[in-house]
Amino acid sequence: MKVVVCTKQTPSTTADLTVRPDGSVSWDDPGGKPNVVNPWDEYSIEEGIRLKENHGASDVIALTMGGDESQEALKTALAMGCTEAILLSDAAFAGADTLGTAKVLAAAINKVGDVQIAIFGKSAIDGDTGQTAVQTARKLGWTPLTFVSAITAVGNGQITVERLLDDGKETVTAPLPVVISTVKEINEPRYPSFMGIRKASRATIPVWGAGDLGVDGVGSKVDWSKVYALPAREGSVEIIDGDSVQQKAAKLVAKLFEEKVI
Amino acid sequence: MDFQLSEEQREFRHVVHEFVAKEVKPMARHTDETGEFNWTAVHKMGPLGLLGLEVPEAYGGAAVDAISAAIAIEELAWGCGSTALAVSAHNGLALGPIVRYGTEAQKQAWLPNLATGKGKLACLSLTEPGAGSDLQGGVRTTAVKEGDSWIIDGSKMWMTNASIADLMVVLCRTDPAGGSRSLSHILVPTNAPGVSVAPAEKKMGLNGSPTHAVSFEEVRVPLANVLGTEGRGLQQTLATLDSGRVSIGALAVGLAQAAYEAAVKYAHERQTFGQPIAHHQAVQWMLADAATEIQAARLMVYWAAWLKGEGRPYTKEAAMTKLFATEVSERVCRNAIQVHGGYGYSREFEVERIYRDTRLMTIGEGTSEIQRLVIARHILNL
Repeated sequence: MKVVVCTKQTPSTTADLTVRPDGSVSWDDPGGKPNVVNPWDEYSIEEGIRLKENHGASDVIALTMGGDESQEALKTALAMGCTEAILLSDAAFAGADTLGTAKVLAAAINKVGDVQIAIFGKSAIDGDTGQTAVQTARKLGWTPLTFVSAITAVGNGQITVERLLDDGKETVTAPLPVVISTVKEINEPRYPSFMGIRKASRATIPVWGAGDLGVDGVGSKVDWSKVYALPAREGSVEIIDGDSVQQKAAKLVAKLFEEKVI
Repeated sequence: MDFQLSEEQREFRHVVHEFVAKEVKPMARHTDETGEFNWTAVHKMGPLGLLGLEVPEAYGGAAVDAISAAIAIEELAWGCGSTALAVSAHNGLALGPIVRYGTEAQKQAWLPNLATGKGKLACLSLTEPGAGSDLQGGVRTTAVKEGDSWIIDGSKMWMTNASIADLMVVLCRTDPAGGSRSLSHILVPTNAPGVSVAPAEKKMGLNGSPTHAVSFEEVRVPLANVLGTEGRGLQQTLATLDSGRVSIGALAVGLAQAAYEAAVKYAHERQTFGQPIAHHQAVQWMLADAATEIQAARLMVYWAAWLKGEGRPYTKEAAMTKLFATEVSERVCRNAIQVHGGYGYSREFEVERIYRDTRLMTIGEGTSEIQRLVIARHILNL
C-alpha cells in the first residue's frame, strides 16, 4: 500500500501579505524567515509516516506542485521520514487555481500507481481555500474524507476514520482508495531528525512536468479581476484603571455591555 | 576559506532553533525557578538526535560534524542555560569519551539507550572536594582490583547530571604511587550499590541543571568497566575537556545571543526623554559592542570545532575559545541588564537569569585562569 502526502510550500506564519499599487501580491517575512512547509501539512506528513509505522504502508511519497524553491518543502518531508518526494513543476502549471492544481496532483497520484490513501492538510495558509483535497478526490474518483482527526483502522480494503465537525465527531468507514484532509487534532508532528536532514540534503528530487503527467490546460478557471488590501482597522486602546482587580473587572464588564460586546 | 555554513548545517540550525523556541525557551524561567529538569523537552530530543550528537549512527547517534554539534549547544543555550548544560555535559563529557575510548562491548551496552533518550542521561565525574584544577595530585577516589572487580571508594563534587543519569564516567586513582599515569576512567552505573547521590547543590544560576556531591562506598563494578587504557585517565580527561571547552564556548555564545536579543528588543520598546532608548548613543554602543563580540566569539567556536573535526591539535584553540567566549558572554549579559535598567534586575525579565547562568561558564570545565595557563604554556613552549 502506497500513501501520498500532498504538500505545499507557503510563506512563514509571520509573513505579511502586501498588495502593491499595481495589484500584485507579495509575502515578506519581517524577520526574514524563509518559506516553510504549509503548517497544516505537517500533520498530514506525520500521519503519512505513521501509516507506514503502524499500518504497514510500504511507501510514503510527498508531492508538491510549485517552482524549484518548493524542493525545500519536500526536503522537510523527507527529513521527517517520507520515503520519497516528487516535485511537480512546469511553466504550464504557473497561475493554476485549486482545480488546476487538483488536476496535476491527480495525474501524479495515478502515475505513482498503487496509491490507496492521499493525505492533505486541511488547507494551505496562503490561499486558505481548503478546496484542493476534495477537488483532487473528484478528479481521481475517490472518496473524500475531510477534517479527519484520527485514523482508527486500515485493512480489508477499507479505512475507518474519525471526523471532527462543528457539532462533534463522527466515525465513518469508506472503501479504499480515499483522499483524506487532516485537522491538527490528529497528531503531534515530529521534528525532522538530524539523520533525516542528512538523508534529505543528499536526496535528488525527481521533477515531473506536464509532459510526464499527460496533462494540459491546467490554467485557472478563476479570474482575479481585482486584488486589493483591506483597509487598516481603526481603533483605540483604553487602559482600565481601578483600585483592585475586582473593580477593574467590574468596569471592564460594564464597558463591554455598553458596547454590546457581551 | 569559506565562512558559510553548509546547507546541512544551516538546516540543523534551523531545526534546532525551531525546536528550542517551541519546547525549551518558553520553559526556561520555570526550569530555573523550580529546579525541575525539563524532561519533557529532553525526551523529545532523543528522536531528533540531540542526545547523541557525535555518536555514530550505528549506535543510534546523529553523527553530526563538530560544528553542527557546537551549533546545537549554542541554540539550546539561547533557549535555556540549564537544559543546554545538561545536554552539553551528556554529549561532550560523558558520551564523547565512550565513543572515543570505549570497547565495542561498552559502546553496544550503553550508547544505543543514552544516545536516543530511551534511558536517562550520562555524566562525567572528575572534581572532588580537594581536587578541581589539580586532578593529577588531588584525586583521592580510588579503584582497587579485587578478583574480577574494581572496588571504588571516595567522594566527588559538582557532578553535573548525577541525579538524572544512568551512567557515570568516574575518574579514579588506580595506582596509589601517583603521577600522570595513576588515574583511570571507570564506567559506573548510577544504580550500583554503594553509589549515593546527595541532594542538588543550591547554586547562583543554572538551577535546572542538577549538580551533586556523590559518594562511592565499596562500589563494585566489573574490571571490564575501565574505559580506554588503564592509567590514561588524566590524558583522556584532558582530551575530553578540550572538546568540552568548545561546547562551553558555544553555550556561552548562545546565552550571550539571548541576552543581546532581549536587550535590542527592550531598547526599541523603552522610551526615555521622548524617544526609544535605542536612539541614545550610550545604549547603542553597548549593543554594538555586544553584536561585535558575540560574532567574534561565535567564529572562534566554529574555528575550534572545525579543527577538532579535522582531527588537528586544538588544545590551545579550545582554551582560547572558552576563555574569550565565556568572558564575552559575561560582559554582554552584564550590559544587557544595564540596558534594561532596574527591570533588568527583576526576575520578570530573562536577562537576570541569563546573567546568573553565564557566570558559571568562566569556571566550569576549566576556569578562565586555567585557560590562560594552557594558552601560555603553548605560546611560550613551557
